[in-house]
Formats: sequence, structure tokens, C-alpha cells
Amino acid sequence: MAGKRQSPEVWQREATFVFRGLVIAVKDGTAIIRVDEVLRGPELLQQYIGSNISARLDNKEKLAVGDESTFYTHTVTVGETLVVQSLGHVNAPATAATSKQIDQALRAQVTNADIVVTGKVTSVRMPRSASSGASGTRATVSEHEPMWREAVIRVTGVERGGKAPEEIVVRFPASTDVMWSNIPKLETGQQGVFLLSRSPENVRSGTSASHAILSVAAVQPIQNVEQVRSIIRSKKL
Amino acid sequence: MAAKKTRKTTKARTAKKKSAAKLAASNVFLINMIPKALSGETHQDSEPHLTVNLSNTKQIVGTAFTPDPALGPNAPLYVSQDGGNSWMLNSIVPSTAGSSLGTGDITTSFNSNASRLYGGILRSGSGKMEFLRTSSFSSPSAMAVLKSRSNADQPFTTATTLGGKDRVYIGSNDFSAPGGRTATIDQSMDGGLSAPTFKTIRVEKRSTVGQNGPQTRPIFHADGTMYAAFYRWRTSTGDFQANTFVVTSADVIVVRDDNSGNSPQPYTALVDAGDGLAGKRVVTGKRFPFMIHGTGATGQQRIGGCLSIAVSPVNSSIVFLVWGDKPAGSTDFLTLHVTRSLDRGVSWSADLLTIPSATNGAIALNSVGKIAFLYQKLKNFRWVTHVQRSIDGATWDDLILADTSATNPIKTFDPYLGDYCHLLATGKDFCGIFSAGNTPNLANFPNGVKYQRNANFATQRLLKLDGVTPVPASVDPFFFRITE
Repeated sequence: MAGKRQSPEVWQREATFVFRGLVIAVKDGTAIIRVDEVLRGPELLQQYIGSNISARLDNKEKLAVGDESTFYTHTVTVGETLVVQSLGHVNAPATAATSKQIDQALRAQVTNADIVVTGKVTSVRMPRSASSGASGTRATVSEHEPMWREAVIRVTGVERGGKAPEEIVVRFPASTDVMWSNIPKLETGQQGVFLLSRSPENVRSGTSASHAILSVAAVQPIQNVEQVRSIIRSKKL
Repeated sequence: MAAKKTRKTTKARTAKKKSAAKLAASNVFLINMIPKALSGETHQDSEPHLTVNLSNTKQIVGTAFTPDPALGPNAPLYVSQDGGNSWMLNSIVPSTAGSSLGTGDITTSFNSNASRLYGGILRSGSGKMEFLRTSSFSSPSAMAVLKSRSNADQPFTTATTLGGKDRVYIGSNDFSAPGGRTATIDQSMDGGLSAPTFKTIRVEKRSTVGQNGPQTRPIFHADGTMYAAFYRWRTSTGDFQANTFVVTSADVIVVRDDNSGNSPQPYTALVDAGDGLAGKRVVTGKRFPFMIHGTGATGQQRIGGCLSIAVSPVNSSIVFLVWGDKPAGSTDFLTLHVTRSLDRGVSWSADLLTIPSATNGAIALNSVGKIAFLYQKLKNFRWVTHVQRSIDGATWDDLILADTSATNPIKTFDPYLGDYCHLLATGKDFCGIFSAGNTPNLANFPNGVKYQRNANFATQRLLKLDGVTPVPASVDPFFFRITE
């Protein structure tokens, strides 16, 4: 970030760890900050509340001992202590209500989805290409085989993407392999908000599925529908 | 005659005793690599790999399936600047923002003086195999992507410097290879160039049942000798998705190149007398399961063969090979075999060691020709991590580094421990890395252990950064150093 001061909007977008904290010391472009509240970051980073971490400051960033600010950062190194790179800070301590950020992955998924629907999974089945037996799959015997499955979703509402059919068939990886394990696995009877992208070419062959689930945020609990709607509204999608 | 026999036996016993005494006179240092500042983490940090700067053995880089703590756009390396006594994370491996995986398969290798670190990964998000490089492994700048392509697996990286140029070799199972001859080495003869070229070499010369399997393991010697080991899958049965797939006949093949992999017909120096083709078939017709996921019977670990190859630093004619199979009639999931060639891979010994119910074999030879063999053996529903060492290939000692539950923690993905671990020689010493359950119980680590993350060994509890809140057990990477 050196030499290029960006706006808070950019910090908000790019920061992976946003927290409110108190400046304990400042020296040589590094601040020691006590973390008082984690406003954005994985659950793992919640453990830093009450702890001191080191923040490398942007070269135009000014801080003084005793400042209470909201810091927009990403992690640099993790060793005896956590070291973060500050993208910027705002001096007025943000309240949780205004600075709790909607999950970035969800925001990106809403933006990139071709269609957003609410609905219920009525069945899960083998795609034609995978159900044809061992001989048909031999060429792709790999630890990282996605084990595609198809789920039929009965659509109950369309949040984005215009008119949708009553049923949508989506492909998802059932594999527990490291490359696929964090992608949502659909089950019959599951209700949710489905943020669907059209199947990429390499996923499409031999399937009746029009869409695929390829990211963690593509399936949301039905309770998150208002959050999804607010993103759609804010982005005028 | 009898007297002669007695003298011989006594001599052999004395040699054995001396050998055992020498083997015992070593120090073992073992450390859990998760840094203190990550005390609350519970990720399954499996499939570890390691590289050491041979010009300054204090500089070490480890890798595993570890995400960036803030789920940023780059996954971390484990970095040590003090010979492995302490570790920190430096997130510079290109990944995908928000990835809770961090990275897919990853291996790295320094060149000869660590002025550059090379890597091969399967990138989180795209799954593409990418070749990486950085000239500063401890700086915050992301590693550069030198090459990227789809449809390949298990990039296995080794690099060196010869004649002032970085030689980089990345073995893989490239499903795009024509004719199912998927064992592949991508190599650059000058990896330090701003835009180095990688030549893709298909090292399999025989037919396969569709692929060679994931393990293609290259290894170099300073005199320019290159070896690589891979399986040749010949027949198979079962349904992979139903987890019943078995490679019913496989050969283990070793290829050699005497000019750093840069011969006009690379990796064809070793010809099998049986069929006149390049690549010595060390063993043929071997059988093993190739699992999509681990089960209770396999200690949650998926099984899919095992290969490791090492060349003596003092004599490039001496090569050791570890290979795995499920012998006929065996109830074990995999048996590891250690064999040796003294004639540049032309002929191979019978088993020097045979280890049933084991996987993740890795072998190395030190500067005086001593052998070390790392593996993980399932015994009584526990994963026992061994290092066996030998001076002559006949007498072996046995160090147990870890003895941890194979049922707890429960896996969150496959592979539970990883599809490989790694072992290196640094002069006379050995350095290695493996993953195992992290419950802080000294009985699990008979040769001692150091934890950086907060742990109470008296209560056998991991603790968060606050030193009070308990943290559930998970799989962590462990680094070890054996000082000879």
C-alpha cells in the first residue's frame, strides 16, 4: 500500500481482518494495538480480543498512543504474535452495528450468481456420466475426483435472475477430498437460499444440471434470505 | 571351521553392537509447527512437505493444508530461520480469498543457496497445477506463478543449482498426457530467468490402464544424475466412487538421466533388459487399493500406493527406493518395502525392510551414506510415526516420533494425514516433517516434543491464546531433526 492512499471503501473491500482497538505503542512504522472487538474475520481471530498484536502501518498512516480506531488489515505473519498490515484506519471507533461487515464471500457470491432462488431439495441423484459404472469413470480415477451429484431444487421464490423454472437441477461435488470438502453438500429435504452460477464447460458434460455449486457461499440457510436481499438491494442487482 | 564360524558370528555381533551404538548416539528434536499466535486453530493441517537451505540449514520452509488465518488471498508457508526451533506462517502462496482450504497439494524446494524457493501447487479454487517462485520466502510478497495448467495431480518439486543455473523438476500425474502415460516431469534448466521455460517430459514408455497414478518422484544428484520413480498401473478393478477401486497389477519403475534431465532423449539412460524399454521395472504385478476416502479400518487415512526415492550424496550409483503394495493374501491395507540399487538402478536388492500396515514412506541418505526411513504405521488404531536408520541396510534402529490416536480427531476431509510426508538429509543430519494428532500428551511423543501453541501437558488440553479456553484436538504438522 506504500505511496498510495486508498479510500475507506477500498479498505473495507480488501481487508480480511477488521477490528476496533487501542494503540498501545507506535515505533518505526509499527503499532502495537490491543484488539477490543473483531468486526470482520474468521472465528479463529476472535481469540485476539484483549490481546496485543503488531500492525505495520501504511506509510502515510498517523497514529498516537491512546488512539481508539477501527483498523482495516490483512495478516502478514503469524508466529509468537500476530503481525498484520494496516490498509488504513478510521479514528472514530465504529459501532458494531455500522461496521459489522457482511461476509465478503457471500457478497461476492451474490454479485457473481446468475440466479438466486429460495427452495427445497427434492432429490439427490447420480449424474448420468458418473452412474454408468466403473469402466466409465476409470479415466478420471483421481484423489481429487469431485464425485459429482445432481440435486433437484423445487423453487419457492426468485430473489434475483428473472423468471426461474419450477425446478432447477444443480451439480455439486460430493467428494470429501481436500479440494472439494468445503463446498456445500446438498441433501434431500434441505431448504435454503441457493446462489447459483451456470455450470462451467468442464462441469457440464453428461449432465442435465444447468447450474453448479462450486463455492462455500453458494448455499445459505433460509434464515439468511434477508441478508441476501439486502446485498441485492445495495448493489441494485 | 567351527572356530572360523564362531569368529565370524562374534565379529558380526560386534559390528551389529557398534552399529546400534552409533545409531543410538543421536539427538532427536521434535516440534509442533503451529505458532503460538494460532493457538486456537483446529484445522486439519495434513499432507506436509519440507525443504531446507543446504547452504544455511537454519532456513527451512514447510508446507501443509493450512489456510491463511484471516482467509486472505494467499495461503501460508511455514518458515523457520533457526533450524526448525521455531516456526511462523508467511502467507505468500497464491490461493483464493476466502478459501478455508488454503491450498491444494503443495511441495516446495530451495535452489542450492535459497536465493530462490520454487513450488508446485494445486491452486485452491481453480484446482490448476501451478509452478511458483519467490526470491524471498520470508517477505510478504506473493510467490510468482511461472506456469499454470489444468488436469494434473500431486506436483512434487525438487530444485538445485548447477553451473550457476537453477534446475527445477516437478513430477506430476498429468491426466492430459496422451495415451494414459501420465507420469510427467516438468523441468526448467534455468528457473532463475525472469520467464523460465518448463519442458514437459512424459517419462512412461509403456502402456497403462489409463494412468500412472499420482506419485511421480524426481530426485537429483550434484553430479547431474537424475532419477525418478513412478507406478505403472496395468490393470484395475472395482468402483472408485464406491471406494472399492483396486490397482490389481502395477509395476514400480525407475528412470534415470545422466545429464540433469537434459539429455536428447531424457530419462532413458536406464533400459530394462526384459523388454528393452527405458525405465527399469523394479517390481512388477503389484496390487494395492486406491481409495477415494479413508475408513476406520485404515485409520481414517486414504490409501493409494507409496513411492519415495533417494540417492546417496556421496555416490550417485547408490539409490534407495520405497514402494508400497498389498501383498497377496495380506489383510493389511499397504505394506512398505525398502530396496537398494548399487549400480545406478540396473539391479535392485530384495527387501531391506518390509513394514506392513504402513504408509507415507519417505527415505533419505546423509553425507556419510547413512539411511533414514520415515513412515507412519497403523497399530491398534493408533498412527505410529517411525524413523528407522541404518548404516549398512542390514541393521536398523527404530525411533518412534509420535504415537497418536487414529480415531480422534475425526477427519474433516481426505487425506487425514496426507498422501505423503517428507524426509531430507542436511549433511550428516536428517530433517523431516509429518502430520499427526496434536493432543498434548507426552506419552504420545516418546522422544520428546516442543509445542509453540498453548498446551497443558498435565491436563492434555490445547488452549487458546488466553491460556485458559480449551481447544479441540486436530491434526498438526510436526518438524523433526535428528542430529547424527
